[in-house]
Amino acid sequence: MTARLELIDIHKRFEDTAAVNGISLALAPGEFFSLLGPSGCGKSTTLAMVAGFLEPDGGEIRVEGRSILHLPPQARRIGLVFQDYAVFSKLTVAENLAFGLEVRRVRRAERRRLVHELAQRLALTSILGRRGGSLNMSEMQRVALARVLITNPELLLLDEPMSNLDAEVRASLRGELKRIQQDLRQTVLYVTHDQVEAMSMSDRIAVMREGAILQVASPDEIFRAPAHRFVAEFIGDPPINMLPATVEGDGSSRIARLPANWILPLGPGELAEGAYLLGIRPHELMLSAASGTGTAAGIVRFLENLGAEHVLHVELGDMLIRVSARPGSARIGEGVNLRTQSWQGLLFDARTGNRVPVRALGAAA
Amino acid sequence: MTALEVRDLTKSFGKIRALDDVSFTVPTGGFFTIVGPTNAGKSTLLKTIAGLHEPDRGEIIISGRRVNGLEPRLRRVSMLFQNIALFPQLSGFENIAFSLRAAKASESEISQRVGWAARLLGIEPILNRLPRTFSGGEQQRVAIGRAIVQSADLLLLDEPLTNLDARIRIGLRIAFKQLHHELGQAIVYVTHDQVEAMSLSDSVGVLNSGRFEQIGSPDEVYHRPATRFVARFIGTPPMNFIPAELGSEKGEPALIGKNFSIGVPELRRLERVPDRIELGIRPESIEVAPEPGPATPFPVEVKWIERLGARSVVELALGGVAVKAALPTGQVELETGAAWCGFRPQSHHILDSQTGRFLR
Amino acid sequence: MVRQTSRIGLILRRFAVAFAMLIAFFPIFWLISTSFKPYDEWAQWPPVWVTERPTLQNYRIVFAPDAAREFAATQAGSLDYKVSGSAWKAFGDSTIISVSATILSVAFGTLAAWAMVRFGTGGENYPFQFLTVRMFPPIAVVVPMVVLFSVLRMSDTYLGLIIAYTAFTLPFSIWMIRSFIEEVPSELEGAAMIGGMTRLQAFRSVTLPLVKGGLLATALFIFILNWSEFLFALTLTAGDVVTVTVQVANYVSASSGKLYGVQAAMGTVSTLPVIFFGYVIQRHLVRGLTFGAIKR
Repeated sequence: MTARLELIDIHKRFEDTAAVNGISLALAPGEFFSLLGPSGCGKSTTLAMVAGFLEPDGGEIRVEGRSILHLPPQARRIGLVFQDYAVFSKLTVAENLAFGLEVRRVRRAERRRLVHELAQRLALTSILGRRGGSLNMSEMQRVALARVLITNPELLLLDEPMSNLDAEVRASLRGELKRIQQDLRQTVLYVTHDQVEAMSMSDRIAVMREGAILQVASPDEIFRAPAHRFVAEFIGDPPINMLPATVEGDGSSRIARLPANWILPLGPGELAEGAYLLGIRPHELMLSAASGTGTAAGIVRFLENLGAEHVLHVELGDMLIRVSARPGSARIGEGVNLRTQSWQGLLFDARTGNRVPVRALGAAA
Repeated sequence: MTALEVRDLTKSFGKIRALDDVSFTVPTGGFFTIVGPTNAGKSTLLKTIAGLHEPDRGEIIISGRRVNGLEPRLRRVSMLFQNIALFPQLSGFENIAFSLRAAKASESEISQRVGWAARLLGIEPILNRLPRTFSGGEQQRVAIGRAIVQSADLLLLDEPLTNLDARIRIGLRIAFKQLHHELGQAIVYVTHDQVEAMSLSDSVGVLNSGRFEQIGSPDEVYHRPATRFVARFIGTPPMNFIPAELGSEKGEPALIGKNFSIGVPELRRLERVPDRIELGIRPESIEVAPEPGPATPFPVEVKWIERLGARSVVELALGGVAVKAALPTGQVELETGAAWCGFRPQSHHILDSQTGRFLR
Repeated sequence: MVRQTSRIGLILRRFAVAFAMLIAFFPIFWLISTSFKPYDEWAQWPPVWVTERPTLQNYRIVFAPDAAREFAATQAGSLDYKVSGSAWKAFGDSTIISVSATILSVAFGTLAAWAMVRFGTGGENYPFQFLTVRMFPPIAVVVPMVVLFSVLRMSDTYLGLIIAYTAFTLPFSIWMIRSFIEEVPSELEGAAMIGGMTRLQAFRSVTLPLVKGGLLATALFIFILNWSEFLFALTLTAGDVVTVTVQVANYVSASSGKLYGVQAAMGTVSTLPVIFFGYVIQRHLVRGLTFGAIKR
């Protein structure tokens, strides 16, 4: 089952803090949509309002165009998957699946039919007789999803379901969850603070901060063209470097003056002179053999060995700049020259943090 | 001089053997990370070193002194607990000052040491508040402060970054490295996150079911894993294993599998070839292209593309075997369907399926 | 939460609560009401709910038996106010015994509970086994106890009752205190030990302050049990030691049977220490003191 979800100008206050401050969203049927942000940004509050556990102070929530605000949680036809999946360990997989149907007084024959139908789709048929406590994490996730999906919800809500799991397990569950969602064309609202989860599974992501949405876009666009410096800094591991930059120039050509006398030619373009923040992702920097225009000299202070690559922390003036480098390209204490490589041209207003669209810039770098 | 030496440590709880003949050493000023899945025995190992558990067998030597049977307070270790364990009735300041007060340090020394830690960790504004008013990150930093002001030969850190927001975690990761740099104290760091293990430490021990599978530098465990477990645990996505047979191609020994073959001249020196072998290949070592070429000679099917910003993880079917490749985003435009892949030269590993150990 | 309850539902619910309160508080009302009634209204039928002739006579009999006898002499009729023992002594005896037994029970209970929680003393099922001691009805053990106490020459002594009470409330205190100590993560004691304390210091200065509220709650509960205990107080004494409950039962006269009004007066007075104790410690009965100590 798949449905359209709309949130229109939702507000929610807790005492004197605005937890959610006027957010509007529209999820297309069958879309995997993530709310991404740090603790306390209002993402879980938003989800709780959609589920019906909290009542918004203002605004409207609609499923398929009809308001659901007056409905209690159990009447909303929403499936909610809990943290760590919370599969009943004493019940068998079949009993776990049938649980929601029993609560809804579905007849026994019908229950059995639905359980087997869904078990087949989620590859659970062979483990229907096993107890919840004996499952591995992948099976557990499928059982948790199946237990909710069996009641045919219009909307599936997931609130940080993987946050307490080992990193390695999380990686394998992501692909599986996405595949099930696509296979069933289920509308999903997914809440997480983990950018990797949001990036890898979502059709679109809303990045939230302090109760407001900073950007709604596809993962690709969020990464390539973040609307705000907060979005840029939240997405990407290792994180983006944010350098104070002074843009100067004569005629139509512009340069950016960065710390440690690093001068980055920006090429010709429409750009007001003044103070900016310049975002360079670690993989957009490389070590250069030659020094000279467009390069900056620094010293490698720390080295993070990630196996396939090394993240160098290069001291540049009083800043540490992260650079992705091939293993073995520099050692701690070594002096290196940095230069940009396929820089995307991310510039942010130093005061508001909003991205400044730059046309025809970056080509020179 | 070694900061810590652990010899043949064994510890059981009832029928469960939590630690099974564990041995390792940490040099003075070293950063040793114990990495492994949940319930591998990591926390038990740390608590045993600290003296909160008594081992069934084995020796613990801290700075040349055997500490078995010694009370925790006499071992000259400090520890950060996984669940933080701040004293709820004490302010941030008093939490950090705890060990100094217990050691009857002078008032001026206490305020000086606590001030130093608070500045280092950026928690000066919260020193007078009680732990119940702290955010997760503040709790964490006060607990770190408490661990580092104590004069100790060894700092034990149990999953200090777990349960924090992903973004705070990445920031604090490098903070630990800076801290280590500044303190010069030997650190034993426990984590289940291989990225933390790889990026922070001089030496990594991969713990599984109470035993070390391998101890080595980050480069060693990544590039020369000893066992299948290590190869799968270190690196995301994990190393791929593809069943293959040993044959020959142009007179050279070669690994031949469904839809691929690669030359393995190094196997010529091998006296006994195991019955069943697998090709191990890291996702970063696989190249994928829409058209066949010298670097991508093997036909595959692209099943799934996971875009993660700077890189994409591509799920392939190579002769029916699921294989993951990690590619820098934007390098090649791929779509699901037929494609071609190849392995970077000299990037392959050969696993003896029977023993789970690598030949190469 | 979403508003769902109708107005009628709300009225019905309030009505049910009021009814339950009526049932719960009626005995207390009756106790206090009877304590002010003159003797002819004690057992009158139909019952007198609130007397129109309130008197302090019953209280005078409790605290000043001589005055009472004088009164009885001036009153015509068959009422026999001859009572054995003094209420003052009963309150004194009960206080000594209940307070001592409560302190001992909570002290031993704390140490035992700590050992069980932190060191697993006695194994996993030990706390349950401990509690099963209390599953025997006291009447089943009272006869052998009487024999045992007379052999040990502890019948009719303070020490005898204190030991008996301590023994019989100990399972409760262990059980209750155990749950409070379990709430304090062992890592807190671990952190204190690594920070330079001995195990006992860590227990005393970290764990104990955190379970203080729980210990006081346990003490109140145990005190109420001790204060209102009757069976042991009756069978293990012979007149040298008299507790409040035994004294209440003593207000019986040969000619008039039970002196309900006097019993009610003594009963009313005997609830006062419990109310007082409860009031004094209520501000310490705060749970969740460990908030902020650990990551959740």
